[in-house]
Amino acid sequence: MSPSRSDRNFSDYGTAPIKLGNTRRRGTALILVSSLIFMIFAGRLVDLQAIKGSELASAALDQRLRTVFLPAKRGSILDSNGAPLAITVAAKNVTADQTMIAEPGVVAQALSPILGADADILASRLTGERRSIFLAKEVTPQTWEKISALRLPGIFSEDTSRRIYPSGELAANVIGFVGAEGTGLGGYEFAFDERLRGTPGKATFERGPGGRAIPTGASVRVDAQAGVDVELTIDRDIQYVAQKAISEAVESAGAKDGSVVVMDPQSGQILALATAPTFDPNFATQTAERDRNNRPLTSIFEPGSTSKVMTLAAVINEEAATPYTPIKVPEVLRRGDTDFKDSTPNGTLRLTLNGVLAKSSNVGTILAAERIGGKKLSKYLKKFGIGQPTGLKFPGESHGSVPEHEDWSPTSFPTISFGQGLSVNSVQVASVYSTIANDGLRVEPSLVKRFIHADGTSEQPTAPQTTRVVSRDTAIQMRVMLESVVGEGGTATNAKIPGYRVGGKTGTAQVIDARLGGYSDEVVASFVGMAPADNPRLVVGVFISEPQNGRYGGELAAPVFKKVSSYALGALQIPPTGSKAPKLALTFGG
Amino acid sequence: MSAALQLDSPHIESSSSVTEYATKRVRRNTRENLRLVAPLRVSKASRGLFVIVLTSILGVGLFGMLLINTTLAQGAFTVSELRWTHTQLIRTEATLTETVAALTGPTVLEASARELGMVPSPTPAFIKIPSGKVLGKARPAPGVRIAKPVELTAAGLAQLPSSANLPVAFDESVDSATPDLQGVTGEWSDPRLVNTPDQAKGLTLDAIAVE
Repeated sequence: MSPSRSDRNFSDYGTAPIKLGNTRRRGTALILVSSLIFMIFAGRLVDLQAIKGSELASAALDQRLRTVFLPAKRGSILDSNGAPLAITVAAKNVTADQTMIAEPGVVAQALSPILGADADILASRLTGERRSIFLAKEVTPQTWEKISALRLPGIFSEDTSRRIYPSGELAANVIGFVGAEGTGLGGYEFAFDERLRGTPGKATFERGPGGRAIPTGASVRVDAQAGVDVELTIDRDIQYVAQKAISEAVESAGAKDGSVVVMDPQSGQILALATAPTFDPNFATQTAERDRNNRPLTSIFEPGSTSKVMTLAAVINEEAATPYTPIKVPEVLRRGDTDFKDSTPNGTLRLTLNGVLAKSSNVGTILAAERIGGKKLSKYLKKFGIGQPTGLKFPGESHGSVPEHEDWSPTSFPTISFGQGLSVNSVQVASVYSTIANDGLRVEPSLVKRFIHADGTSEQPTAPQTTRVVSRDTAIQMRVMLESVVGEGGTATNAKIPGYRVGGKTGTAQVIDARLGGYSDEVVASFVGMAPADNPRLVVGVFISEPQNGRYGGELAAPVFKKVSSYALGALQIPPTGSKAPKLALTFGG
Repeated sequence: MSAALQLDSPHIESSSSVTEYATKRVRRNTRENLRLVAPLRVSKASRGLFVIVLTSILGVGLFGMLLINTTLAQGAFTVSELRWTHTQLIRTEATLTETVAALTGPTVLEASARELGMVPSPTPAFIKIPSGKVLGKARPAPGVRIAKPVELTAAGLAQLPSSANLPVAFDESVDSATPDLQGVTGEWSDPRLVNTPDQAKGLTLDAIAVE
């Protein structure tokens, strides 16, 4: 084995010597190379396992892991009996992969009748190189099933949800509407968006080649938290009747718009809040923006004669007069630099305080108000909630204003006493009558009955504030006076509901025209009333803005009051009290 | 033994004593004579059993693994299937909810009621039961009768709560003073309310009010 021996052996044959490699060197080289390779491998191994190990392992897991977002179901908006006003249902978006569609025309023809879309428009959306394009959004699951049954290549769907308003326009002004992304854009959909929306969850799992979850694989699931249901105080049926009645009245009067407020005076709950014209929240974006307003809260106007109730209640509460107090009412009363008159000149009248209200005498009201003075009147107006937020926290609410007493001009006091020169919204006026109806105790109006959480527990909204505005005696006297308005010789005989004692007040208030810088010829015709007058369970306010056919609250608003109240009394099962209305004198002898 | 020998050796002087000692030791440790014994029964089956046991453990293990995997896979399939069913049910629910919500809405209800010839009651009125006293002014509903009236029977009346106000609108020409409905048996027989179909005209019963 020694090199010398091998040299000798081969050279002995006499042939050309074969050059042989040095075996030892080779061996060494081989070992070196092997070691080197081994070291590279080992190094790589260490690199992969130890240095990049965790990083790579997580990258590998990422390839298998899939995260799916679990959308939270938006809470419903319900009426006071739990009937749905706004609900969310499953829906499908239909998408197309343009590159997979060979004949857009044919596909469009097939889809057109199902989607109810124009075939040409569909064909244009199906032509091109885009991998994903929307053909239709939020179609019903059935519609998608019909499309799916056609087995058209390149047509896909994705899960989504759809907000529907099953009764269309019903209470749309209160509910509001949602935008394309399903977020609330108006009304309570907007105000309670965060509560309604809920919290989306997510599911992460390892999936096999088929896309199915690997049973033993890692998985994390955080369930979506469904949104909170909002139960309103609105009664769907009363709302419907109110909405229908005001729509008809606005139309027949050729008015700009109108509102109805129905309240339970004892609880302050608003049972209906209707306006016309309104909108269908299912197609909110296609409607005029002004019709999407909740006018009973967002529109302010000068209340006019309906405001006299506050003035006279203040006078009686301050014991400055009783319903029987005689007031000699001249045809013209000069205050400051202005002559004040009644709407119909009748010469000098000899009215009782009761008669002043029943005949809606401006001059009589001024004379009565002067018995307590402006400062006290101002205080009462505030206590009745005028110029104050309603507490409904409705988006876009405008709570009107009443000038501070210090800022009153010589004409302010007489003007404000009969309801001009201050602004209110419809709910505030209804709340004034609710206060009288509820024996002088004002209960802050409310529209939300409760919140119902996904787990079924219910949460009460903060209890409405109660304020004593006038004494019980004052309230009772005011109610008897309000009955005179509806009674013989009053301004609102159209509001009578056979069998019931009804009290209320008409209003025909002039509208300020910003361009003229003064009062225009337009009016807000209103009637606010209560039934049964001796034990009021219902207050209904009707406001018709800028009527063209007809002008007075008694002729336009009172019939709407009658229609809505008649229905509501039956629906709420409020029987007549059976008592007789006392007859209070409107005039005094002479 | 050699250790013993070494230990003992200091005390042993002569070689003969060594021999003697050795002999003694050998004698003392005399073993029994060797004899033939029957060959041990080495069971050939025992190895086979061992193999079987091992194989079966392996087999059971493998089978178990297979079973678990199959079950899990089956479970995954079931989950997929149930998810699909769930989706279908959600779709059905969505459709039904939408339909029900639309149909129960007042807009549709009023239209359906009018189709049946019903009209809104113009003024609310209540019958107090059992006194039968009418609260409020009952008036005939406006409109023309197009459908046969439903006859009120005592059986139907019996289902009413004992003390209830029944909103009703009926012909004003009929005497609305306290009809006595106590002790009514068989057919509803108060002539002032419903007796002949003609008299039932305009009777609208829409709710029961409990005092």
